[in-house]
Amino acid sequence: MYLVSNGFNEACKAVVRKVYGKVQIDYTDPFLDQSLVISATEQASASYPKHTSDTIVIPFAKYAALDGAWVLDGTFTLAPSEAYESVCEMGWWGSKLAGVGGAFSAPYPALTVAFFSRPIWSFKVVGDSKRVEYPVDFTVKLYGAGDVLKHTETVVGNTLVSWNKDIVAVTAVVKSVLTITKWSHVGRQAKIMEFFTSIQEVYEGEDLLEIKLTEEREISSGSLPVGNISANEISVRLSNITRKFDSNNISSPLYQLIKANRRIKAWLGVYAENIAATKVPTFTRGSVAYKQDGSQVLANVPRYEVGKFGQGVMLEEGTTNLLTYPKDFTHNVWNANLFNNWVIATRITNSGIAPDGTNTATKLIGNYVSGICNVAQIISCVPSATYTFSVWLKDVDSDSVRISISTGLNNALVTENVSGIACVGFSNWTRFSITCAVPASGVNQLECMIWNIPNTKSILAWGAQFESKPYATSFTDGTRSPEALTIPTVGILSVVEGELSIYFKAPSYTFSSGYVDIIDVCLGNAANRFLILRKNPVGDYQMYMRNGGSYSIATFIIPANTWTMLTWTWKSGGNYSLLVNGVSVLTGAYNAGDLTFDNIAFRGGIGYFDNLRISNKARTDAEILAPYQNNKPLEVDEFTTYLLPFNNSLLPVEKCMIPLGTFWSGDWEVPDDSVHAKTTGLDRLELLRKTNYNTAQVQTDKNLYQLAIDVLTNAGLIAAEYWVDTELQNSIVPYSYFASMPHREALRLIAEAALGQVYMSRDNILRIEGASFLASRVTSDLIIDGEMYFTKNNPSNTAEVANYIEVETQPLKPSVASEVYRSNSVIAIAAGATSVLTIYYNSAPCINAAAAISGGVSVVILSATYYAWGAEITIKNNNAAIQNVTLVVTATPLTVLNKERAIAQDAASITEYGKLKYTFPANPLIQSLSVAQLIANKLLASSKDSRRDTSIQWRGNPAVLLSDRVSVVDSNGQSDFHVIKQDITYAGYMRATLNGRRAT
Amino acid sequence: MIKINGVVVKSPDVFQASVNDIVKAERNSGGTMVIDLVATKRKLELGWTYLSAVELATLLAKVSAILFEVSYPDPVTGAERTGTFYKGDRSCEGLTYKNGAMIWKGLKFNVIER
Repeated sequence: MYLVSNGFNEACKAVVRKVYGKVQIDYTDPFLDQSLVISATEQASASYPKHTSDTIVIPFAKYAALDGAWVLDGTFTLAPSEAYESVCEMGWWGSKLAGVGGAFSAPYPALTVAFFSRPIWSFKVVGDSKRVEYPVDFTVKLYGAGDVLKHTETVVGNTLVSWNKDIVAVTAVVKSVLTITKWSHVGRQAKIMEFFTSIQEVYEGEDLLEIKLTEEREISSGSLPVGNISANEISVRLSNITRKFDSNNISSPLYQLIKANRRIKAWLGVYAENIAATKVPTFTRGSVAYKQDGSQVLANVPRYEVGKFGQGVMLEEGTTNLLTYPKDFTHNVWNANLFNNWVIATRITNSGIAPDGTNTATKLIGNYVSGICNVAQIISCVPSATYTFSVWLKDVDSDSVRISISTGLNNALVTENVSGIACVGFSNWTRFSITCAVPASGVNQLECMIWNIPNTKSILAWGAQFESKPYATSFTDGTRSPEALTIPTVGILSVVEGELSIYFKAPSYTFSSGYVDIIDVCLGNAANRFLILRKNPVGDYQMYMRNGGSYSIATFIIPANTWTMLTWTWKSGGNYSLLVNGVSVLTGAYNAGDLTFDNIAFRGGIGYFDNLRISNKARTDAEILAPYQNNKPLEVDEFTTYLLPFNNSLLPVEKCMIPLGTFWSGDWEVPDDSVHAKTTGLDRLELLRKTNYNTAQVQTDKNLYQLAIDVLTNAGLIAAEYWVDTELQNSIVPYSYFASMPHREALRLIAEAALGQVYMSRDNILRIEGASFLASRVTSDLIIDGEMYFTKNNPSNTAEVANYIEVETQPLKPSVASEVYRSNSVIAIAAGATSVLTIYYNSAPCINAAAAISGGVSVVILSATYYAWGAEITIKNNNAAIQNVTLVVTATPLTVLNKERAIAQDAASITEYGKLKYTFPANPLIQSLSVAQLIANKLLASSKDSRRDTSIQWRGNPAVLLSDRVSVVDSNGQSDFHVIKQDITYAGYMRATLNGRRAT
Repeated sequence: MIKINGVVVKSPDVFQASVNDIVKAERNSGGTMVIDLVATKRKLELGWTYLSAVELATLLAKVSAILFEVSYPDPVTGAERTGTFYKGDRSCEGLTYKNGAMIWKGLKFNVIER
């Protein structure tokens, strides 16, 4: 699965959902567009002018240079070599250093981009944002055919790293020239990341009519899925209502750019909690904590509790549990007894599952017929302070017990709190608490007790807590740090206009005796305070709004344990409004000049929060009230800048777009009688069909992994662009030789010999997976149930059943050394002359070649380069007269000798289906019988029975990838399949067909 | 008040707004209807009882382009909303000649959000 949140999968499963599509096409790409020629008048030792037209405007790193700016602080990186320039954006670097005031001396650094005739609508000149360097004074000139100057743009005093300007279209431009006369820094060279007004367009919404994607990991073609690879294919239909795709529209920015080999990227997605969000709240709590159900969460992990919708987050002040051994009532600290006539209950440790899921509950058994038994612990206390004792209890067969706090002085009873709290109705784990105010004098001890356990009856107890507060906070074993939640607001909260709504649930008690700011958006001082939820000393709540240099305050009651929606809206030059449950409680004039924003901070107190939404619009009271009255979660719309649902994560809801891959266009269809343009693209595997792999040498004892890497490297891929299964390292090829063939064919041969698969991932990574890769995926990535699919088929596919497998070896063996070349006629070589001869062996491949000359005098071989197919030999005549010689090469030819056949068959399958024979294709990389037998056995194991694979027509989830393991649920239960092919259609909605190979 | 491409046009005598959800709805294997919401669009039915020849020509010229912007009171928000629309067939009926010019009645057409 593509890495997504649970919320993403839930959004895809929603009964009503909205799926978004996006297509991006690069119409100009220097790596593909041969019409684009980029040149510079000067260059640093590392410089990549072609980067200036690749649409990437940010350098990969802050590159070091010997210009005095390089500081060894770890922030600088050495410039990329040629091998890595494709993934390490650097741009064009000049060589001349800027002089006084940043001025360059003539001749000035200049960059020229030539291209096919096209209109220019805008300029873009981008400097180095990592170094914060840019051109200050420069000119851009546009030329037509014949070097006719058509436009000059002169810029003086630029202060922007990225300079842009739209112009009235200049048509029929074939060349643009950037000349820099002044740089932003003295002593630095010119650095340009982007200059050419490359055309990259993004289509979504009404501009995008349809996406069709076919991606497949393997092809069976009516037989076993061996030895086939195919390129994934995308088809996109775009709106041509503006006629911009028309080939004869010379005003179109795409004029003369609608061609094959345009790079296409596509995405599908939904609004959901975004696992890749950049504006994520920060939560801190330096200790573990316990949820309301008693389960423990680790430090710095929020506690998600039942929210208004789904889940919400609980935020709580810190506390210290003054009890020792609060979970183990068998410890003798619980033997305290200020009452001489009370006895200690019988206690059995680890007698039940505690609220935190561990077997640590203590069973307390009444054991005194006529009196009272208890467990108790004595704690020192401070005069005039207030303390609260709380404990988790679960009834076993006792109808009720009591908890209480009594006071003492120097181990002598002062006040016996006989009644305490009666605990009833606790058949499930229930937390009870009692609070005690210590007198100003005469008391220095408190005794907290669980008592009144009837004789022979029992209860379970766990998680006692005694804290210096007038109410019980959640259980902690030791000290619980206060919790803080901070939400970034840069770019999402505007002082000009906006809305902030949140659901809040107050606890059942009044926490603290003073003012407590619960939420605010301020700079930490009162002068800038704004948008505050506060509790006042009497337990009411207040919403603050700063306006006109003072505050407007709305005071209201929030019922305990009741979700309440709080909303602030504001519009500069208009009004602010504070709303409780969608009803305005205060309104007034508002001006943005009064305000300064900081992050949203949840600062203190206790409460539960859910559904925080920020908008860039002051929604009307009616718009606020509607979702509240409909009892629906707040949703993202065009005005929403941030939405936090707190559903088991702090991830904001954003449009999460999942890539469908990278493709290169084929032909375009732009019908005159329709308002669409259509093209079909294939992925990089198709490009590898067009380039050739030439090894030239016989490779000995290389494994398939090494051979695959060699092919990929030869094709120009770097390590970040491919992934090869290390399982391929298990197959050694004694002598491997590839005649000149497309890279794709070489990869196919390797994959076939490995019983593996080759395909492009969504991230444009070329993947070669071994035969066991799917088997390594043992856990299900996604459950597809009947709610998600429309139809399901489990075809028998008998064409993919084989129970008699033949695999023939192709052992490439060195034969006897022999003459493999002799010049057809004598070679006449003039006195003192040198001659270079390219010769081809009579049979290839060959190893251990050696050339010799016969005839002639003083003719020598100066150098010889031997290939598997021939050699390049340089000979020289050192004689003063012409010489006639014969060139002879002896070598050891490699030939396929002693073929063997491995057979694997399954008697039971043959009985059931008859003999179904499959002959493995002859593969030159299968050279030993053991390897052949291994292949035959693996193939037989996977093909001897009808697997009843699956084909599902379903709603689709863009995050499902090839090779994923999905669990498909039907009335007969659940079956697991690996995804081997997907057909995805998007036309404002999404539908998909998934083909799965049975996993078990 | 109706604006076409930002210009106020003569107030229509008939104004009917409808809100249309464009969906792909299908029943899953459990028989439950599942819905992909493609978009929500507006359709406005506009009508004018009487128009002078000049008014008629002005109105038809406003909607002569394939696509145009219409600002109108939106029934969902209660506020003015602007969207890109195309139009359906325009029909009207000649009422009478007055001072040598035709008086028109019953111009009506729909504009449908793109």
